[in-house]
Amino acid sequence: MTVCGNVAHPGVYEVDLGARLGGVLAAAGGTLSPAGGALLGGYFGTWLPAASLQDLPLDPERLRAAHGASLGCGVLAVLPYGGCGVIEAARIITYLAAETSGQCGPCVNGLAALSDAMHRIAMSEPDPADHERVRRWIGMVRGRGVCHHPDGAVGQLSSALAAFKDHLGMHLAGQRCYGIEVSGFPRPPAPGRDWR
Amino acid sequence: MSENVQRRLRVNPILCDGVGYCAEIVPELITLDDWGFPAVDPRPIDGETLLHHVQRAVATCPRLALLIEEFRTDRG
Repeated sequence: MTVCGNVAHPGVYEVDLGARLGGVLAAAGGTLSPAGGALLGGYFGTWLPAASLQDLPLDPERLRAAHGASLGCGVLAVLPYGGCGVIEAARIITYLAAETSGQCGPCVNGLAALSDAMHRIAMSEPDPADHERVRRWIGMVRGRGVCHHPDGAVGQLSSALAAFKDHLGMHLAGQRCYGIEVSGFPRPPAPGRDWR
Repeated sequence: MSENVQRRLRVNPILCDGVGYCAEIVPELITLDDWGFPAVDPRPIDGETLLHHVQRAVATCPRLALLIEEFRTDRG
């Protein structure tokens, strides 16, 4: 597994599937600050709340049963203490919206709309309808592309909304979230389509 | 065990430009999302009248993005 973010020694580690996530974190030298949560499986992965990390089993069936998660591409990105999964998920959906191949309408329009709404929510300046719209659009986009790019993108987002309910409530209430200044979680590259 | 051929409507989202005629013709099976692209009911097409409407929608689509797919259900 690739372990990155809030750990002492980011890198690639060979992991026994019978292990628990706490062991993986220990192998990476432990966390620098108490984990604020983690994204398992890369940008198409699943956000996990901090409390579930230590004892999380890694074998695929139990991961799926317990959290609907999978190892995906094998990347574990650990959120720093005070970091905000809602903000990071908004950054990721914005990146993935820009990475659409532009073929299917629901992906092109849906991910762009989700990106805009999540940006407002992340900045704690949501429109009153944004929360309902995000929930609806997640369902509206899923399964409607020829490829699974949109499915993975909204899966990541919906898991973040579930794992960071408290944070989401703060953002929706317009309270400033200090997670926006917390560094240490890998940021997606700036969206850009120049090479096309 | 008998085999039963049924039909369902499918959309090719790559070809589809969200023109929207299909949802006018078969609102029973097609609803438009917030951006005007069709979401198709994947259940089997039930009845001759509905099938006729579906055929009309397929023929009308200027992007040729709709198709009627036959599939088999095995009934034990």
